[in-house]
Amino acid sequence: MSPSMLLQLLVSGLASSFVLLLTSLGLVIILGYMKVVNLAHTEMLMSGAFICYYVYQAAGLPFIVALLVAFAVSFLFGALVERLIICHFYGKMSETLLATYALSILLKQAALLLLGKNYKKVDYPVKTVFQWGPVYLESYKLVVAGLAILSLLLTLLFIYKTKTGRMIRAAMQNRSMTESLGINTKKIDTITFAYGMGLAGLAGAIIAPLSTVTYTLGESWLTNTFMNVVMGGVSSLFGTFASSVLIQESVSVISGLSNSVTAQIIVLLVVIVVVRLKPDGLFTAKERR
Amino acid sequence: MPLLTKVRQLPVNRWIDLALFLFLLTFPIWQNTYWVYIMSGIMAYMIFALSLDLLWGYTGLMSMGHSVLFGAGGYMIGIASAWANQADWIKFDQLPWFLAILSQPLGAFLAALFLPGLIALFIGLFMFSGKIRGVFFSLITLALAGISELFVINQSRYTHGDSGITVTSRTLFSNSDSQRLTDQQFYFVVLAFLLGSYLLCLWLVNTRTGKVLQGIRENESRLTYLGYKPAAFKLFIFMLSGMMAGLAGMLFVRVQGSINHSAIGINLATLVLVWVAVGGRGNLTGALIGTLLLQFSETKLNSVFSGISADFAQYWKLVLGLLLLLIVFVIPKGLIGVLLEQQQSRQGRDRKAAIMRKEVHSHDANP
Repeated sequence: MSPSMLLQLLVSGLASSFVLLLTSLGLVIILGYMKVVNLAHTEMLMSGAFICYYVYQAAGLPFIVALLVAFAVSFLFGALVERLIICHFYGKMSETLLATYALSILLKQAALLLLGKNYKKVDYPVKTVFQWGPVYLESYKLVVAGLAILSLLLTLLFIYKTKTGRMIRAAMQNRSMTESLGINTKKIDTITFAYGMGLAGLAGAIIAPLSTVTYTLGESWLTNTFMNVVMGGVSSLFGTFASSVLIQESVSVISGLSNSVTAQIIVLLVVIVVVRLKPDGLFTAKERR
Repeated sequence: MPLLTKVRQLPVNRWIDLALFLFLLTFPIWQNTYWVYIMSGIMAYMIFALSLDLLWGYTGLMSMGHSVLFGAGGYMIGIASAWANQADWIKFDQLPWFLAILSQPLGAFLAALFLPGLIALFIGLFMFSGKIRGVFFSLITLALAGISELFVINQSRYTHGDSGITVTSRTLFSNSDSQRLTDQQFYFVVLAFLLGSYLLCLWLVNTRTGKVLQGIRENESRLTYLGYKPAAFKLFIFMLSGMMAGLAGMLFVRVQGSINHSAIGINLATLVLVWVAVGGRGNLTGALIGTLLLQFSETKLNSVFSGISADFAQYWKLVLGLLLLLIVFVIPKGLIGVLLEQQQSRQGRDRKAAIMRKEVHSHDANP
């Protein structure tokens, strides 16, 4: 492999690691703060992408409006789902997995039957392609990286600097104590879940131009996002960031040598080994109970 | 008399099992070849569901990628059969060293049993340390199912990619086209394997090992305090369950006459979870009944509705989703779980009533 090709692979790998970070963020938050594995997460990505298509591509509204609508709709949907379904199954792993899986089937089949099997294409909001020497990069990927970092920072800000965020962390650490301080933990649960789902919808809208928007979009993200969560652990969002970079860079470089499927398999095997050595994820917060 | 009491106290689901096997035994007598063929496939799926029930229902390890082991077994037979009959897509002159065993008829059978066991061994060795939480096992297996599907599509040199492999040999061991059992004959082969697997499971869960497995499900750390090594038991049951899944895959491929990537991917992995969840987990009967009910109704409804809407399969998935949600809400223990619970509470009431009667009598006798 020539150095310039390696450079190109590294750059595109870095670009896709921001995409992976974005698509995993909501999942990590729901798993980390609520101990709920949300199998409907990737179908929420799909819904967000469809919202982006209809608001931005079909209705012709500005891209940013599409992102906001996707976030808002997914947030509300998440709140509804938490109140109706998830809140009955806290602490029951199998039931949660089954319920969220059922939800993901419903979302996917609804998308298929209502919106059809056709592939929909969303145009890039910014179309230029950068070139530095031998390395090419679509400018939209830079935008995605910026949005991913922005989402990460806003999420950190939300969780560590706002009052609601403090309540979310308190509810995670000691639920009954939080309740006895007069905080409505049920409401906190709803907000956390809705926020995670909102992030999923937002991520779906952001990645819509990068992918063909169709009902199977969620499925294609399932493996990567869950692998990322396993590798990065749930106790720190920086762990997610680091594992996104690690996974996508290795996939990108290894696929340069063979092909992307072999790369994914090798990375998954490595993840299985890594999880054995670091069961709580790569970067664990020091003070964990 | 003790025997009679024992029979009366037999859990209700064992009667259902008995009825089910009698039904399956007589099924070919009053049904035509098409339904015998369909039922053979369902019985292979039942073995698959049983293997998941051992793992999920009894040990509490929710594998979300059990189809990987099913498909691994199936693909061994598929590749062996394609090689034996020199299918026209085969471009290689020699089986590669890691598949060389498939050139022998018995080798393919053994490979279909032991490759899933080896895969399970690999995952288990790394996943079953004390520190890894159960949910990570589900997520890793889910990721594995997703990747395996891509893998078999990608390795088209051996797996014929998207189109899958046609397997025309319907025998137990041989992979050559010339030997072929009829649908009826092969039905009884599958039935024999199903009965064997069922009896094996039934025996296993009532041994001490089985009790330890259920102990892992209920309270793993207490079991550790008692001096057991849960990791070893988990590894054992995962490998056994993997081999059963491989057996199911092998039989399914021979019944179906083909295998493609859908037999290894997330779709089947989650479908089997739905069967076991609907039937009820942790009692073997639930896995059998859930599979039978859902697969039978899918086939039946498909033949009814396929004329009306071409999208039947999609609507059926929607129905499955709703059904799953309903089951998780209303009867999380599953259909058979509810029956068992009712019987237990009735037996408890009877026992209480008997004790009360005795007390009243003894009171009357010596005032």
